[in-house]
Amino acid sequence: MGTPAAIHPIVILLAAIFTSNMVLANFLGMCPFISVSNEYKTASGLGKAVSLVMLVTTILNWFLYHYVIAPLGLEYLRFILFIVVIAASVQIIEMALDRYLPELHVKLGIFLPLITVNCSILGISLFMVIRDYTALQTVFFGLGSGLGWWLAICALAAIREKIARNKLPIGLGGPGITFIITGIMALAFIGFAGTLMIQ
Amino acid sequence: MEIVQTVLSISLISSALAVVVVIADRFLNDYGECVIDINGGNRQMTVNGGSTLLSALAANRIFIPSACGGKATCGLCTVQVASDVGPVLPTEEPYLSEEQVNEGVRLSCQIKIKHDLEIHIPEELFNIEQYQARIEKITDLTHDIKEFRFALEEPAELAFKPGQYVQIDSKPYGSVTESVSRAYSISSVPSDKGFVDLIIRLVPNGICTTFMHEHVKEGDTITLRGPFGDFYLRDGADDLVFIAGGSGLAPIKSLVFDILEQGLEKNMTFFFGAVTKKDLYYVELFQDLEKRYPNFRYIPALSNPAPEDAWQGDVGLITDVVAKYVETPVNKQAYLCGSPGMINACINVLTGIGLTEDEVFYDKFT
Amino acid sequence: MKQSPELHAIQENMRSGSLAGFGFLGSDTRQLIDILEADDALVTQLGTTHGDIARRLQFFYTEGRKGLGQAVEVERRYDVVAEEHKGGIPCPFRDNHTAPKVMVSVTDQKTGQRLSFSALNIHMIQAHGFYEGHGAKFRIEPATVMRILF
Repeated sequence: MGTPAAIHPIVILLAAIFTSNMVLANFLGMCPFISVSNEYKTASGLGKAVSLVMLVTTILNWFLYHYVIAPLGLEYLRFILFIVVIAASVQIIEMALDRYLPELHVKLGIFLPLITVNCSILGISLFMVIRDYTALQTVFFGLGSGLGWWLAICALAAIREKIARNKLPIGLGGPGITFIITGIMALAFIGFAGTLMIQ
Repeated sequence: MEIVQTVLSISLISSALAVVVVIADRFLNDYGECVIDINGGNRQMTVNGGSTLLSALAANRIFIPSACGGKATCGLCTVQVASDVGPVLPTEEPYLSEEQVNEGVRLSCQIKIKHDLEIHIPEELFNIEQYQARIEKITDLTHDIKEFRFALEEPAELAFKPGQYVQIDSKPYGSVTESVSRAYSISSVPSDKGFVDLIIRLVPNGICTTFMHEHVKEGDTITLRGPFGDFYLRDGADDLVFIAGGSGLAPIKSLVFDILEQGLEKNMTFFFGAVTKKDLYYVELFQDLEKRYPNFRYIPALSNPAPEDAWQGDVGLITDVVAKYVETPVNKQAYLCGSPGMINACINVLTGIGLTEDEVFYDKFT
Repeated sequence: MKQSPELHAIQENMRSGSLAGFGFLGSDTRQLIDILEADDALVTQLGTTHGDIARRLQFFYTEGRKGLGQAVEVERRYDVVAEEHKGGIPCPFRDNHTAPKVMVSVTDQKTGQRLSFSALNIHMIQAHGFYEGHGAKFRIEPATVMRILF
């Protein structure tokens, strides 16, 4: 693996979507992934919202980290401060959605505030710090992670809709079969491993 | 030192972000003042943007029918919107037909006012007023029916046609956390100015009827809206047949008394159906009317009288009793009020006798 | 298990006593989606379907209504009374279905066992597989239906 600064942003983008998929390779952001994936349209809407939040917050957090946290030696506070930024961003995005895209706002309803505690969003901000990305790399990383999460939840929702009418062994319905499907999808994504490495 | 630094930095950054959120809120959620134009300039009102169309209109004393209070469950609050208010929301979808959507009909409880709007509503809605009414008297009529006499306080008069109904708002009680609106027919006559009588039958698990039967007393104030409904007397017939069951007696009582009061030349027959004697009420009232007015006839019928009832009157299902007494369809109109089952069965009997569908009027709240 | 925002909104509507006096969920603290799945499994275990149960209830409903409030004998085994009230109850699942306010009471003449249900129950079972929550005033137990009505 080359030095972080040397990795091309496009490589980071593609890797974030496929080889280092947040949910299928890193198993972050599982909570809404399992619970909102039973209907394709809602899942896709949530995927878009999560992508937007990921992109916006990573960029904001990059600036916060490099211009406020690091210079002041507050690295130990990065968890708290990143979360506060994420919470504020989600609030504002929710208001903006209500104004400009009310349909989506109604569909996502209570799930918007829940995006705040989606660990993958905090996760990518922390990865950005650990891997010491530049601003440009951060943009592509945030975008890629979001697209990857969106791709994963859409794929899962599509599969779940297809098997919705099938009879399942009692006890495996709902979360049970969803975890099994997720595991199989993760296995499939392992096939990408080695093509692009950023972690 | 580190503690101070920690606390300070977290507080400052959080406060800064809070300020940003507040500014965003002011900017994104402030829609300013919006003008609502109704029926092509007939009425105009200026409201603060951000509230729903239903609530903004109600605040300006225009009451769009609603039973669920804006929860997108009853589908009654439709309004035709000529301006663009965005795509149909998923909450509205089940309640609007394709034709309605093409005409711009929307659920007013789901439309948020963000800019000037042009809307169209039926003219009748302008006549609907909201009243504060004080409960003057509560009378037990049967084991599950009570009559409530309301004195209108503000405004003091309600102009209505006999047969119409009002909506009343219940208040939260016990485990019921919400207010609901329900419709009840007026049983008093228009000449009884300043008062409205309602006959309310207790529905098992019914929110409003339980509220009225168990949680109000004389002297309480209730919010009332009306008048609503197109169940009222039509011209064109001299022979009138009235059929009612249960609390359906209310509008019929209003119609009958008003017709007699006005001295209209109509022959009236009133059929009231119940199962046993304990479900009958106002029997003496109508028997007395029968004695005083030769053009009014009262026929109560029990479908399954108990032995202790010692019932001397007609026995049988109301449909059979009606068929027994109503002979010709000539110059007749029928006014029905009661449960949907009774109404449907009676309509069959009446059309079987020869009345046409536009000679039969009925009151169905659904 | 979390449920979609739409189902969550429906659940809150059911709890708050804004549509029916005591709500549709009774003392049940489970999420709506868990209630639906549990009853789904229960019905499958009993060897029947929501459709079959709804159809049987609908049969008694139709027969009972013919009595216009009076008891009707059905299949020489049951006494059925259908009590009707004016108005309708909108289905809490926001599907633009308003059920008439009809309460049906079916009593087995021999055993004396009785089952009560409403027109709305029939629709919710048939269209949504919803039998109301445990402790709800009008919860229909699939097992009870099978025992008394079949």
